[in-house]
Amino acid sequence: MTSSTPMEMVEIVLERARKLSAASLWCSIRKNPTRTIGLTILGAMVLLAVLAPGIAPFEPDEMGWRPFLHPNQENWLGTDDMGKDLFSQLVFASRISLLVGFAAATVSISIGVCIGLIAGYFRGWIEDLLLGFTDLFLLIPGLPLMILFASYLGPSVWNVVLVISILWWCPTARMIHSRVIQVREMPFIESTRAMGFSDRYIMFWHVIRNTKDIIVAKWSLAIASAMMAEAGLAFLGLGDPFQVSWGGMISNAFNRGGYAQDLWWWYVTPGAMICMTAIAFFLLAMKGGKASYQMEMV
Amino acid sequence: MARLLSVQGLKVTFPTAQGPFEAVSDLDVDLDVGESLALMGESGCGKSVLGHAIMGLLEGIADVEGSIYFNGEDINIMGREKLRLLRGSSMALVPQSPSMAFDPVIRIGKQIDEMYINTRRADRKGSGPLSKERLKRVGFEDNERAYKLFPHQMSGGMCERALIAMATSLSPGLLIADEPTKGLDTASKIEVLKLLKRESGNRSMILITHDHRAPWICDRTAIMYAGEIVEIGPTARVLEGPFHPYTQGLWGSLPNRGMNTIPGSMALVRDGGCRFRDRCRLCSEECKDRQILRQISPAHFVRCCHA
Repeated sequence: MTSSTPMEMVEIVLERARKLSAASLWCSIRKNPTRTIGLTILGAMVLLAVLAPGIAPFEPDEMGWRPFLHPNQENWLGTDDMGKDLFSQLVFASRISLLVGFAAATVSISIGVCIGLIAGYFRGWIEDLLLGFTDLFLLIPGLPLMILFASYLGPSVWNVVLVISILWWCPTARMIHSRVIQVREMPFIESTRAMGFSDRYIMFWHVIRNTKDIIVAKWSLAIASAMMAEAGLAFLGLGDPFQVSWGGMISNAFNRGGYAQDLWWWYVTPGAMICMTAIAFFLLAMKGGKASYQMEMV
Repeated sequence: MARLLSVQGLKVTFPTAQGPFEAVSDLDVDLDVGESLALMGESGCGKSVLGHAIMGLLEGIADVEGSIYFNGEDINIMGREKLRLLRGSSMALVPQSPSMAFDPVIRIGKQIDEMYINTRRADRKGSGPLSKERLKRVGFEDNERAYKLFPHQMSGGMCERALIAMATSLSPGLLIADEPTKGLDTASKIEVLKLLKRESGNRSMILITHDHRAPWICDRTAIMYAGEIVEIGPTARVLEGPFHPYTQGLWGSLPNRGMNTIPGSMALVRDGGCRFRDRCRLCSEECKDRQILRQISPAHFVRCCHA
């Protein structure tokens, strides 16, 4: 390079980095548009939740407007029966919905993965016992029990997480179990044992890595389902009344005159948010499923 | 020389739907420190089972009776954890089908790293150079690149060499190579055999093989038939002047020796007499009696009354 000042060199490096990132970004978007769409929606939702105080024009429980206002310049989605700004509620509700989704999915998938892994890897009486236990849970009708639990434990966000995760690990355990019995018969497991690795190491390093595609797909679907279950519980009035989620907003609209007065923006917008987030996770899971299919072809 | 391995009266029985199946019966074999032994015989004769039994890998799969003394300790009654610590560091197995013996989703180098990390011989940082050194030793000129490859990006020969690098990474005293030349082209076969010969220079090795040229890298050769050793002796004697009719039949079936295959198939009847007798051209009344390994020359034993 000819004589150039440090500033110029910095400029050149920055310019190259800009070009590179733009090109590679475009490339990855073209390669798998579903993932890009999914990630974009999800990113937007997470940003909304994280930056809620900055985005929402008012506090979610700030009262001071006339009730049942139609959308206007100040209150973009109007107000509810108590004169609270609905747009601010919508923004802040994303926090609760996403939190419940992530937490319940993570806990339920963790339980499911552990049980499926241990049952599939060790076989014998451990397998019979754990799978019997799983079948027992699968037989219990989910929704009534969820309602029972939620009403017994009292309305709280964490109780909703607990109820959803206790009831939802069973299909994951079943699925992971069937994949693990496939993986454990692969020759490399035996060769790893012959190299002196412990069962715990083989399970949590090799077997988990080879079931990762299923776990990720299942996890992203579980987040979407958990969010919808939370919406269902909140709609039935079993959520936390002080921390409104999207499902809670729909419930409020239903119980407090939103439907009756045909204020569709009150219940359609949170519904749309739930749908969009669920779709984002489904798109991401679809990508995972495809990768797993391709891996099996190799 | 000091004795490293001593297998005494080994009997391995698999439970099957048709009742128990004896894959290895009353097998005795010794191996000194630094000595190498080739195991040959047709498929299903119990070679690999013997290798797995020595590694203690048949727990829960088959019933193993008898004693396997490794450095004076019987691994058949050893605790699971103690046996596990022995694997990899004191004795190692190079399994069959090298391309499937690696975890498909982890890079080769990382898998060799794990050998050092798992036994605390190196930390995550320190294991990389050690693994690369191992890869270089088994003939990867561009070991930086080989370190980063996934198993599916390697050919069969490369996988085999990487597997040998992994198995010998902790310098085990005993290396059991299970059909290391299976499915390789001639050049790769020779590469692998040369590598094994070099690696067995200062350690004991059991080489399980179907390749009639492979035993030449070993001191002794044992021929197995239906779960028994029928002939064992110095490689040159067994390969060039075999006494057992089965060994003679095996060599006679080679393309350059007339391709005279042995009629019939391996007997499943184990009645105490010679197991080869219904395929044997020398079969007589005496063959129905129990056959023992008889010494016919120094260090050369044959299980046949006609030898």
